[in-house]
Amino acid sequence: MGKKIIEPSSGAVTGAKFKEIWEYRELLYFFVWREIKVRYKHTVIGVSWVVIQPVIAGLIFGVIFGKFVRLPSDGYPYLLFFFCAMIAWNLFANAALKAGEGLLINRNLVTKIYFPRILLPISIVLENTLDFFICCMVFLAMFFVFKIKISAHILYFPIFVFVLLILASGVGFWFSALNVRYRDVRYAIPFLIQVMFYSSPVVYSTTVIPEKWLFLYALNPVVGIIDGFRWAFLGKAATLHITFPASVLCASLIFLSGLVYFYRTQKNIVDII
Amino acid sequence: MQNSAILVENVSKRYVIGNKMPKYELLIENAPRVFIDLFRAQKKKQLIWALKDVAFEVKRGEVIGIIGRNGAGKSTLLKIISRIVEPTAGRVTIDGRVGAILEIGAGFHDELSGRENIYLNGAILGMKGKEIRKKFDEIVEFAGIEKFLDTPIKYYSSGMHLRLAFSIAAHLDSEILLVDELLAVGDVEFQNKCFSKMRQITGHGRTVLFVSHNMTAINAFCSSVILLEGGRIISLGRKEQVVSKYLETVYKLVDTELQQRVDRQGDGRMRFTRYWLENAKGEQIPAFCSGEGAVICVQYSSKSEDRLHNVSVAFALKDCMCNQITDLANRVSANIWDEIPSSGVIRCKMPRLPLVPGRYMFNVFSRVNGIIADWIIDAGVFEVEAGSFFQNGKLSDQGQGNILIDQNWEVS
Repeated sequence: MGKKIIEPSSGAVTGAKFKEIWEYRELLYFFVWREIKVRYKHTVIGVSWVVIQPVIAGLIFGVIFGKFVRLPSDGYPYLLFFFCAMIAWNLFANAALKAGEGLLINRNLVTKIYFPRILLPISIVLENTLDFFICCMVFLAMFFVFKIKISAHILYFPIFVFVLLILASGVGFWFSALNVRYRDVRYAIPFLIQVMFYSSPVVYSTTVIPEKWLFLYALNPVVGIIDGFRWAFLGKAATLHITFPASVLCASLIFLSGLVYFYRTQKNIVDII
Repeated sequence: MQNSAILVENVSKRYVIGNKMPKYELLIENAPRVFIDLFRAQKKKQLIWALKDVAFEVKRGEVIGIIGRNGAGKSTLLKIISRIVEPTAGRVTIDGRVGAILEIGAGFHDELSGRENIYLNGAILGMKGKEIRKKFDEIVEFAGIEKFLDTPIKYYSSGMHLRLAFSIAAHLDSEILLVDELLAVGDVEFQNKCFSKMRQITGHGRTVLFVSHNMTAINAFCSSVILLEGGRIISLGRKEQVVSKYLETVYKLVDTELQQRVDRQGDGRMRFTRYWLENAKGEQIPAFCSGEGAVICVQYSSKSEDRLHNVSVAFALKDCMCNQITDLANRVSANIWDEIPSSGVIRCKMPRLPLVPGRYMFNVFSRVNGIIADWIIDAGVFEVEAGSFFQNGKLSDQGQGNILIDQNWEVS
């Protein structure tokens, strides 16, 4: 083991920071493992909750918006159309909400032991990614129920998942760091998430947005990702060529600035948390 | 640097204080600043130095104690070396893996079982999964929780909780170990176990930095000692010298305190000016020992040169929760003094201190000619350390009351 030097840091994001995260990967694994273990202790139906929540939400939204309101769904069964967006949305919303609390909840740990603090929001995103994949399985099963073929674009699915993870982590970095400094963020986050839900094409299609507003609309990075999901699974997303680049741009910006802001805050985190 | 495990060079740590800057702020008022912060360094604020230009070197295999009063910067120093907080200036060079036991049991999760917590806490302390598996049985055995391995730790007693936490930390296989005041906890039996574990750890060529208020522990484990005061090193070297220097500073503080107390009652014909503790041999000591001779000494003076008549003095003894245990009073256990000098020292001698280890406080009270002369609530405080009251080498359990009573057992 080599010599370690502890000096005042600038709080800048350097390659060494990423190397450190890699060195602590085992702890990252334990954080994820802990959250999953704890989450379903003392629950009767356990992991089934992961499936039940989105399925019931899907059915309710499917009946109301698909059958009663008759929102256009680009020619696909509304349930599939909605569910496709919802799995992406859920990962984003849950990760952002929980990551926002990540540092505060683990205050005890942060003030007592050193580890790269960024592991906390990352572990929360990963934990929700696991739920996400379970939901993907449920979603795939629906294709068999509806007897619809999955699009060949599914091969590109990992790209959209990657952008989604970048976005969720970026937002997680921002929220968790802000939450340490400003406690009113805690109240603002759920509200913000709710506003974003309605400004994202979860229950409706992006085709309802007038074309001239589309780029602006897609600056909400969830838009392009949901479009991407629909394109990958269902085969068609008329606005993808506009929304996806805008979203990639936005997600990367949020991720990078989040990283910078997080490390800025981490520098003095124990003094202020 | 060849032989040193830790090299601390001019390390300083600055904290922001005062009510000018609340601990956290409202985002609404600071929204623009959040974005400015992204690109600009912090503005200047009201500051305090928790550490200032601290420099020392720890050689491989050395066991160094760090002592000092509360707020001297001991914990900050350990936190910097363990990387929990960043120094404001200076540099620390560390050669070897660092294990820190700053607060044992940090990161325990109540809902998880003992087994799961061993893995989790081990990982948090920096052990690899392989290492934990290898040491698992040892950890369980040391903690003595075999039967409860699969019980969620929220059902553990506080003693079990603590034993498990210490056990995991003690099995950390790092070359450098940072320890912050861990012997002050647990029942006596477990404290003894920790003590011998510490002895084992320190005897194995490991480098240890050890923060403690317990001079017995410092004397037992450390080769040299660092004394911090106000964030600076004021003494560094052989433990005997540094410890006695530390005790001097403590006495100095007590001096000024009793004399300057204004929250006192009485007509002031007699005034208590300072107190200290002595053992049976009349030597000043920092703390009493359970079962050994203990003397509370209080110095007094009076306004005039006249001798004082009909003086009764009492020290009301209280435990750390302010419950009165007893009253040490010359009026009851001896006689009221007919006549004493206008200034002097009053000694209350207890041949075998019947108190269990812990912290105690006392009031001082005096009555001259039937009128209260001086009365200070919580005038003094003293610690009682573990000792064998029954003079058979056995220590009494903690949490079983404060008082020890001589006893004979019979069965027929």
